[in-house]
Amino acid sequence: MRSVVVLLAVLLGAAPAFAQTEEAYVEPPALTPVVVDLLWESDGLTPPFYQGRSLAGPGSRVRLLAMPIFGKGAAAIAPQNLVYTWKKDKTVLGSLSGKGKSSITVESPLRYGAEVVSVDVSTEDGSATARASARIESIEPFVALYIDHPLFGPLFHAGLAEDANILESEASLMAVPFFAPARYPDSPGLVYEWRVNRNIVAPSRSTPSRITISAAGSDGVALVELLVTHATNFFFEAERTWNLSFFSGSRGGGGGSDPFSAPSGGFSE
Amino acid sequence: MRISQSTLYFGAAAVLVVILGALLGWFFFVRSQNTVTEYIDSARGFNDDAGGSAGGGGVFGGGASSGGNAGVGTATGDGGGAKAPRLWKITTTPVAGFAFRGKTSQLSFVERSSGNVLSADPEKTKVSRLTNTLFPKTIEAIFGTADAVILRSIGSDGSIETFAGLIATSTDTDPGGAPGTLEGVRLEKNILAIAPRAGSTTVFFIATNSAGQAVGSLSDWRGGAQKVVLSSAIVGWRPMYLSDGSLYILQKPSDATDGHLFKIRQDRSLERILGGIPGLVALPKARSSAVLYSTIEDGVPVLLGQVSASSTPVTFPVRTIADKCVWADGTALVAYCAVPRNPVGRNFLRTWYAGMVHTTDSIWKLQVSAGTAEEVFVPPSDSSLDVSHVTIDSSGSYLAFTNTKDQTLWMLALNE
Repeated sequence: MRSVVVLLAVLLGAAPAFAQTEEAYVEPPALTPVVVDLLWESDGLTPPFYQGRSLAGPGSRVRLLAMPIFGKGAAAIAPQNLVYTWKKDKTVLGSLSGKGKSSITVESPLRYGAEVVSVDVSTEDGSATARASARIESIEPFVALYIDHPLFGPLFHAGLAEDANILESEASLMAVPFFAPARYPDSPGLVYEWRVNRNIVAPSRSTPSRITISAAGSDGVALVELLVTHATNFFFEAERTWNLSFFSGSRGGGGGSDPFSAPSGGFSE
Repeated sequence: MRISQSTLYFGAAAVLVVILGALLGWFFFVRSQNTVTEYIDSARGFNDDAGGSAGGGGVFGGGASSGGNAGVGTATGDGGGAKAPRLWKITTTPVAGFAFRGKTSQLSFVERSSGNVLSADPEKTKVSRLTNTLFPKTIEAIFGTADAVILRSIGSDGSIETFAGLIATSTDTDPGGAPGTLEGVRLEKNILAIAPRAGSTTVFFIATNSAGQAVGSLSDWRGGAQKVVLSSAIVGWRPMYLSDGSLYILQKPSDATDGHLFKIRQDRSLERILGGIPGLVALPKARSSAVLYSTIEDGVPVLLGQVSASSTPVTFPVRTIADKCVWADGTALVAYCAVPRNPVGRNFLRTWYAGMVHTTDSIWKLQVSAGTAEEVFVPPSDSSLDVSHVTIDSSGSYLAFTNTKDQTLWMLALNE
């Protein structure tokens, strides 16, 4: 997905004016530099304070911004005075192209797919042109699980590994489906199917991305399975499993039994 | 009915006894509350053990133990006294942010659990509480000056909340005094990124407008006198507002996708500093055109330095990202970086930012002009450090950073 910045710098205009006499040749003023950067990101879900870029998950939308540099100093041409021609693969996006149209928003590629979006930027008289393109690949969605600590809040710095130890007898867990077509983890449209030790756990309607697991004062392993889908986007699906070992500090109670399969629940919302 | 004089005396004596009893009860109640406070501070890791000793009964349990030349110690309470060990584990619980206090080696930091501001003094191995105003579950704290701090948290509706606070009572003039309050204002919701100018109370922040575009504004500490200096269809920016007043925006990085660094000029135009670099993380230096930056090549981080805009970048013989680096103050182009001691995996940036992977780092000193790197500190084996948010004091004597594994706060003396 490396965007390729191509510098064309097609400087047309007046050809060198060779005089009939022996007058000195005068170079016409060149418009330099002529370059365009193509920036992109998706509007897919990332957790608050996430320092990385949102990538193109299935169903998300991709924002692209052309940032041209046409000349410098007083000779520079303002970006809004340049003409932008956008293409998705080889198809010209006519309605999105035109003078001053330096940014567009397009759908992400379909799952497992990739698309090349390019932009030609030129002066109104066509005397200078630059092109940039970006290959945008659909990224495989993944879901991360974090502890929502009662004192510290969500521990986004410590995503739970597939085999993780939790030094508490109870933990509130928060799932984040990265790059999902949603603004928040609990946005309408995202569907969470939680299972703990093969038992379906129905999360709260208002906060379906969270469950609380209680080991009820004993130690044990909870097999947590999560499938996240989207109600209207059938291409979005993220699935993951964790083995969470709870250590309550009171080892006498649980032994080797499964404290989570007790009829009394062991789970709470 | 006539009341005898002796009855009056008995009555007065009884009232006196009741009053004395109430005062005695109040005394014991207050004393027990002090005990509770001390107990809570101990639980936060500020125990009364001398620095360098083992222990530190933090919420996460278990402080670090001493470790030979690379001694590790935990924070003390009000006692303090001795100089901190070379590697000082200041907290055993997560912190939200920190900064050195002006030109001193004292470090202000914010507890995640309470939002309280505390100060750590490495010369005395002492931690003092500067504020007691409660801001529970503070996720991020950013200091402008020593007494101006921005606290960020997640609201009940999932929105990002931002509070710009000023410490009402400074312990600079009242060492050991009672904690002050943090007074300030709540800024607008869902500020995407915010950066105070280092050493001042001017702020640059990025929010989105109704069209979903990013709008970057300068403002005073209370969010007033706003002046828009950036409008962009791309919203994922990291702002950097340096002490010399220069303002940079870095597009949020991704491993295999090109990144860009721009400088916002006075006339609001953008000057392209770096661009078209996969996995770009950049660290411009104040009062200089030097930039330290990293890229990802075939899944491997590569660290480069550029002393000026026109110079050829030098590649350092260490494999790390600029997120783990800090420029030292002064005109010499010296930087310190934490370098993973083992190769990192694929998609390192994405997984590291998501907290899915962690590294074990050592500390290196970089001479950027020469393009050389020297390992200056290897943490003891019982202190596995995944370093982030590195900062350095003005004299270049101390590094402070968080261990990303648990967001605990650490300080390293460089000149020992």
